Amino acid sequence: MATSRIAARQRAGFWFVLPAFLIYLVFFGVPFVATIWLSFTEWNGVGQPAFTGAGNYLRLSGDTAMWAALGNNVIWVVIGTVVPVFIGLIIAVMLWSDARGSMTYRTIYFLPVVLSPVVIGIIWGWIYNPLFGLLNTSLRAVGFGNFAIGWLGESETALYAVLVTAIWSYLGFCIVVLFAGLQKVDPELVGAARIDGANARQRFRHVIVPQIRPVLTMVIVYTVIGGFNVFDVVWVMTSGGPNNASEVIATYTYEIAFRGNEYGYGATLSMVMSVLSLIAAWITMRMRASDEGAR
Amino acid sequence: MRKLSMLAMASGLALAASGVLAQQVELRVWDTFTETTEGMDAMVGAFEAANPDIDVVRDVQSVDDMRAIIQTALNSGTGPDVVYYDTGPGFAGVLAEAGLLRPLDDFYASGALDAVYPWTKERSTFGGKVYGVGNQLEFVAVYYNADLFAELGLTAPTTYEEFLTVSEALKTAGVVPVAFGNAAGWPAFHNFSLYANNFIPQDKLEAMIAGTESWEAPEVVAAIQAMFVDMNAAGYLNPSVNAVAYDDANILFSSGMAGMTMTGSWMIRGFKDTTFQTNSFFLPAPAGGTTLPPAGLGSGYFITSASANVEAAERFLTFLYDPANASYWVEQMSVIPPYDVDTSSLEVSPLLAQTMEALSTMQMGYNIDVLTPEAFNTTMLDGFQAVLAGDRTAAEQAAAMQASVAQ
Repeated sequence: MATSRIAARQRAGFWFVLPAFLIYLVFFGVPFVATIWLSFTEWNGVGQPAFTGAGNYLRLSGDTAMWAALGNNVIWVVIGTVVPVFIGLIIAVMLWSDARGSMTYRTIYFLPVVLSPVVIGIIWGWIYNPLFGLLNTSLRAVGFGNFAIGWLGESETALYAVLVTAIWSYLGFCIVVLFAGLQKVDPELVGAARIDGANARQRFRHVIVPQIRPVLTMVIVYTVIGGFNVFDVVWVMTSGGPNNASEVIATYTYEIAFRGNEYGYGATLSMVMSVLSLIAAWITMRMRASDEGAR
Repeated sequence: MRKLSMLAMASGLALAASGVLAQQVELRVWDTFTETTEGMDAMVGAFEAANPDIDVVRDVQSVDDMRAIIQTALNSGTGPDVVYYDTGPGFAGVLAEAGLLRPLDDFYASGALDAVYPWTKERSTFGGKVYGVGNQLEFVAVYYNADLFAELGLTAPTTYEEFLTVSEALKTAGVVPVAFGNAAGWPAFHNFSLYANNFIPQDKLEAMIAGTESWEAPEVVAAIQAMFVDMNAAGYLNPSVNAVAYDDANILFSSGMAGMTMTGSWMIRGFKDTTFQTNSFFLPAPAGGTTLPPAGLGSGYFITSASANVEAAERFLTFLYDPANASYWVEQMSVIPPYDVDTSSLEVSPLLAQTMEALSTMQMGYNIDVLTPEAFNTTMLDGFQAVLAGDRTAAEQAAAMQASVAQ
C-alpha cells in the first residue's frame, strides 16, 4: 500500500517536472547539442554546414587573436574577482557591524546592479569621453590635464577602464550577498574572540571569514564564470577595440560568427567559453565539497 | 419578394467583398530606414494608394539587427518578400549563393528599371545573375564650416598641399582642423578611401580591389601615412581619435569646435541643423594628381526566393525606382536614388543639390570597404586603429592588408 503511494507520488513529481524539463530541453539542451555539432563544421550561416572534423579545434592553437582575447579574460577574471569580492567583503562586514544607516548604504551600493549593463556602458562611456567626459574634465580642473587621455581609445588603458566600470556595477551584488551570508555568523564567537584578545583583523580572518566561506565560495565561482562569459559591457564600451586591446573571448566569438559569417568556428569558440566555465564551476564545487568535509 | 432580392443583394456584396479580400496581397518588406522612416512610410502610403490590392507591411530594423537576423529568417522561411540589405559580396552575395534571393534578370529585361544606372547592377551581380537593385548613391567628402572659413579668409583647397595649409590655419586659430571619431573603427574606412583614391592611380587601385595587385605598394603606404600618422602627429585631428565616437565627432563639427569633417553624403541631412553654413569639397589629390572622391552604393532592394508575392514585389520596386517618385527619396529622406534626378522642381538644400550635381558630372573613385571582403575590412578596422595609436607603422598596416587578401 505504502509502495504504491510512493510510486504515485513519483509519477506526480514526474508530471510536475516535465514542463520545466521540456522547456530546458528545447531552449538549452537542443541548442547546446547543436552548438557542439556546429563546432565541427564550416558554415557561413546559410545553406548546409560542411563537416570539417577537428579542423576548427586545430585552428584554435594558431589563432593569436583568440589567445590574446583569452589573456584579457584571465586579467578580467583575476582583477574582476579579487577587487569586488575583497572590497565587497570589507564593506559588508562594516555594514554588518551595526553601522548606522546600514539599509540605506546597502540600497545605494546595490543600485548599479539593477541597471542594465548596456545603460551602465553608455553612462561610463560618457564619463570616459575624451572631449566632454566627467573624468577628463575633472582631471583638467585639478591640474592633472596630462592624465586626461582617451581612456577607452588607448591600447594600454581600454581593458582596465572597462573593468573599472564592471567592478563598479558588480560591487553591490557582492556586498548584498556577503551581507546576507554574514547573518549566519555567530556574534558570540566574535565576542569571545574579542575577549580572548583578537584584534579586528584577526577576528575578521579567523572568525568571520571561515563562517561565511560557503557564501564566499559561491560569490567567487559566480564571478569567475561571469568573467569568462563577459560580453555586454565590453561590447557597448569598446567593441573589443582599439585594435583588439579589450577583446575578450565572447566579443571575439560574436565578431567571428556574426560579422565574419563563420558560424562553425564561432561555435567552437563558444565551446571554449563553456569548457572554461565548466572547469571554473568544477573547481568551485570541489572547494565547496572540501569545505563541507572540513566542517 | 423584396426580402429575397435584398438577401440576394447582400449575398452578392458579401461574395464581392470576399473576392476583393482574396485578391489582397500582404507584401512583407524589411528595410533599415530607421532615421527616415516617416519618409519611407509616406512613399509606401503613396504606393498602396496607387495599388489598393497590395498591403505593404514594413518592418524597420537597424543595419546591425538586419545583418544578425536576415540569414536565420530566410533560412527558416520566416523572412520577408522584399529586403533592403547590403549589396556587397559578403552580405547579399552570401544570401544569393545560398539560393535565398531571387534573380532579377527577367525583371530588368522587362524595362521596369530602365531609369536605373546600369553600372549599379554590377554591385549586386553574383555568379552572373543580377539579384538586387542598388540604391542610395553616396560619396565621401570633406564638409567644412563655411562661416569660419570666411572669417579666417580661407577657401576650399584645390590641392592636398593647400588642404594641409588650411588645416594649419585652423589649428593656429584654436579650432580642431578635422573632427575624426574612430572608436568604432569603421569611420577610418572612409578616410582611407578618400586618401587611397587620391594617392593611388585608379587602375592600380582597381587591380588591388580585384586582388591582382599588392596592397603593399608605396602609394598605399603613403596614403596610410598621410591620413593616420602625419595628420595625427601634426595635430590636425582631435585628440584621442580612437576614443571618440563617430557621432561625437559629428557633434564636434556641428557645434563649431572643428572646422572640417570627412564623412559621407548621408550626413547632409544632419548638417541642415548647424548654426553655420556648411559646404563641402572633395579631398584634393597632391599637386599634379587627379582628385577622385570615393563613391558607391549604400544598400539595395532584393526579392527573396521564398516570396510567394513576386508580382507584387516587382510592382513595389518599380514604384520605388520610378523617377516620378524621386521627391520621396530626395526631399523627404535626403537619399540620392540611382537614376538622373531633376532637382530644379524639388526642394533640396544647396548642399544636397551640389552633391547631386557633382555625382552626375564628376568622375568618381571607390568606396573601398563596400567592395572588399569582410576579412580585409576587419584588418583595416583593427589596423588603422593600431596605426593611429602608434602601435603599427603604415608599412606594417599595408603588409597586414595584403596578408589578409592572401588568406
